[in-house]
Amino acid sequence: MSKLSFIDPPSRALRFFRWYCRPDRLEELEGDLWEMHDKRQQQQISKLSLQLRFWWDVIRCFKMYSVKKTQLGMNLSLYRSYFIVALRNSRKNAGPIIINIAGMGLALAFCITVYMLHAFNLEFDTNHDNVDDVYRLHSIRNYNDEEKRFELAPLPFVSKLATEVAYVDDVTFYEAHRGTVQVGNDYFSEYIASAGENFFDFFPMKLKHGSPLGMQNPSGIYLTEEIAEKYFGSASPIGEQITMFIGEKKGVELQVEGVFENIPLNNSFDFNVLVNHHAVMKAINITPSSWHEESNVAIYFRSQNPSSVLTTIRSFIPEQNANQENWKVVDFDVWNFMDPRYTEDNVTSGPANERVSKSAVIVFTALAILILAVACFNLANTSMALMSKRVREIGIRKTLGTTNRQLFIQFMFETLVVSTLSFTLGILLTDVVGEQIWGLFGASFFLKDVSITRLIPFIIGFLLFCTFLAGVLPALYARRFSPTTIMKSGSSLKGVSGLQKALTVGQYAVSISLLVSAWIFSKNSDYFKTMDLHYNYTDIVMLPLDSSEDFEVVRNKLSQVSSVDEIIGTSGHIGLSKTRAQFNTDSIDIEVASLNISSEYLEMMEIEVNSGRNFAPNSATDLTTSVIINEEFAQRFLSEVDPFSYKLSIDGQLKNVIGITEDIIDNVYFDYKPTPVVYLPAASDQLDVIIAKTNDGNTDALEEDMKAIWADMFDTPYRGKPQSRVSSFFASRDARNLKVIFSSIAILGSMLSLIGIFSLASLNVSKRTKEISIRRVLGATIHQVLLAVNKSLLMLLGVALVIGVAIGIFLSEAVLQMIYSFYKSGSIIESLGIGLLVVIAATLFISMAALKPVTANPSEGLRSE
Amino acid sequence: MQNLKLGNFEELVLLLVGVLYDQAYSVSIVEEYKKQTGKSINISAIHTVLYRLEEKGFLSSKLGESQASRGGKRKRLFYLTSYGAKALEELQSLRDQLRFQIPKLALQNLA
Repeated sequence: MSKLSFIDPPSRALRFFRWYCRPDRLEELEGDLWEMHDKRQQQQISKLSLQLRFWWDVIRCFKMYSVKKTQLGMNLSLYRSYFIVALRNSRKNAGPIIINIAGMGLALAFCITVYMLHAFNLEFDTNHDNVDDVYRLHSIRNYNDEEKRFELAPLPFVSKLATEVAYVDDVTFYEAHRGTVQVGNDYFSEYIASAGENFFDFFPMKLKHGSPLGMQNPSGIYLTEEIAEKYFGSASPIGEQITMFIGEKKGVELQVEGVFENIPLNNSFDFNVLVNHHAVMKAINITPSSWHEESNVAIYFRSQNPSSVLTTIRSFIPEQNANQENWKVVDFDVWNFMDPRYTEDNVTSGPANERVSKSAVIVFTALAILILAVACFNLANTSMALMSKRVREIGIRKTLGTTNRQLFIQFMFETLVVSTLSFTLGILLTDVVGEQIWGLFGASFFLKDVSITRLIPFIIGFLLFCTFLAGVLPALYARRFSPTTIMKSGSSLKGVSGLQKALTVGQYAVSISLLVSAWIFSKNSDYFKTMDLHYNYTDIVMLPLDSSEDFEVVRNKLSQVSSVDEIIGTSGHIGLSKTRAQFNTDSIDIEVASLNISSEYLEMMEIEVNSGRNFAPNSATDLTTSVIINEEFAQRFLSEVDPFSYKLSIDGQLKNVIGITEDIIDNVYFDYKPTPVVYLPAASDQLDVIIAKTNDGNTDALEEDMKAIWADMFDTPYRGKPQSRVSSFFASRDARNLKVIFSSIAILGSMLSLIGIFSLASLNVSKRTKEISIRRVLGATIHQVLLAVNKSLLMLLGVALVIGVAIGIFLSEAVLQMIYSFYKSGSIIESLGIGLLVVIAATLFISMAALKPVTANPSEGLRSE
Repeated sequence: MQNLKLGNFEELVLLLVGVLYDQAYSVSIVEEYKKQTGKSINISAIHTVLYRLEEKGFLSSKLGESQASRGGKRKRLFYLTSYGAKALEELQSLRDQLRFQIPKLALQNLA
């Protein structure tokens, strides 16, 4: 081998070796490494392998014989003995330590889950490569006098962008519908996405079966791995037949072209099945040039000059508004595909999946901080309590010349051992905890879906942070021991230190506040089930029909069901997809929500007509010239005129206002504002929704009967629902979810706190054995002694109760306010009651810890002390 | 005998040092080990044993010449001490002693 081709050992490895190697052996050992390297060169192996082997040698040589003795003032063997001492101590106090590890592990699992929530947003769409020049096209629309952003644009824009707009390199589009899929004789309700043929050119997705070319097939369908498993088991489903239903239109026959491989939830395209858009156009009867609200899609394009593209698109506004009179836009906008503003909060509606809203992230992060605080406080408190058994050890060590710094490092190291164990447990539990939490919101997101390069630094950083948080106080506490006092009297600190008091109050205040919040959320969950929405939703079942022709037949069948009290038909209905009407006066021209209803509808739904009258049954005049409006409409648009004498222009026709109804609450969330609504009369041949009322309040039973009747009569999927599940159902579900999350965390926090106070009380009692014995000898009753010994702890609990209840009420109020417009605030009395339960439990634990020493024979206590 | 605590592997390395007299240093021992036993070994295992044996007094050492193939670094050469030689001898005689005590019959009727 010539000198020229000699490959030097990797310099980083050498530098690392020189850093750790003790100087007196550096020369010979480094020489050995060089020589081994030199010998390997002669064996003609690759450069990479050479370097890797050199690294391996350097790492293998990191041993006692080679390492500097002076690192951090101690050598490795010292750390090893710290480790052994830590393990031995943990074994001696296995009970409290295991409880702490378990509690901290659960708390950490929750924290890591919350980290995943952040990662969900941070890594949103990062599974798509080459999207730097991809832009989203947004429509800005004025709805009820407010500008809203929609990731939707008319379908004809797709071909316009491709052919008429300069600087557009390529265009694709995406749309999603809730629909039904029929496999064999089974129906499944699925989220059906459709896209342009070139969708995979923009967003390639990994396939487990099939090829991306299948997207060219107008009757092809792709399934996610999960769905393929659900329909066809583990066999490859390529070529299987599936029927798809969207809306009330007829089914479309499709065949399976492919199965996706693990698409992470945090990307714009979340669906159960994906089809070529032609299939959807066939199902809902539209063409690529249809200007119709139903045919609007999310459009994505590649461009190097998006601003000039936007200018051209803006010139299409008049054309779009002329073609879609009931879906007008005021402006268009483009956002880069990866724009971080793309969140639930900023985009009103669109088919694509969005980042999690800020409020959810804030609530969860706050919770994570609280539970972590409880777990760390508890570990700190337990460590300090356990340390009281080791004062002699510390005293002797100090006398023998251990420096304060070494003691500090030792106790930090002990905490590190415990928290590392907790972390291991936490990581193992993360997916279990995460599954529960994400599952509440119908989602699933696992550790494997998070980028590992971000996760590992987070975990390590977080581990060190928690260790510091939980370890710094006990470590400082150990430093403070004065050896002379310890050796003379056995202890340098009487009772419970101020630090421990503060930690205990903090930990109880947090636990109580969480429990109080959970209680308030559970009250709200119930409240949403029965709250007054200003219309009847408790004993109504609604059933949209495929066609108004079926109305009479279905009504006759249903009227034979014994639990049915009344049946009516309507066309528009609260909770069904909203229809809109164009309302204009001299100064305004806007869209408002409209419902086409039958004359019985308002009475059936118990919507009050405050002034004027309802539609008259079968009145031809009402049908053509009358309209009913709600209070909000009257206040917002007709405040300066007398509504009953004003001619209203709705969809270009002049109508008389014959009645004003009260506003219904169609949204309980924070963004609630009463919606202006016009009620228009529906002709008798337009009735395609059945509204049935039960006479026994059991809507679920009626729903079952209706399903059976439907299955007898039709072979299309049943789309009915009890009205309670349409109205405030989501609000109630969300509040229940909050309750579940807060109460699980509260229970965990309380358990930890109870264990914490038990060890604190035991410590307190053990330090005061002499005092207890003397009191007993002097004739104090057990009661009096218990009180005297634990008075300080009880006072702490009292303080924690007040702080905890206050924080709990404030916290739940803040969360509720962030989410809802309507909610019930917590009552102070009830919250105090909940907090008191924790205090009583804690008192029991304190008494339990103190009972044995107090009831023991006092002479024993005096003799042994 | 009790004072001469020697592990199996330590004994082997001690023997190799003897075999390689005057040329016994870690890299040559690695090579000799491979040649004699047919198994390869990492250099750090040899280092550990060499330094330990030196500490126990079985070996002595001195620095040798520097060499270009070693990046200009000197090597540490190891030599048997009389204590080490004695240990080897005692081990050997113990082995022989035991070996001859095995009855011939035992070696014939193997399980």
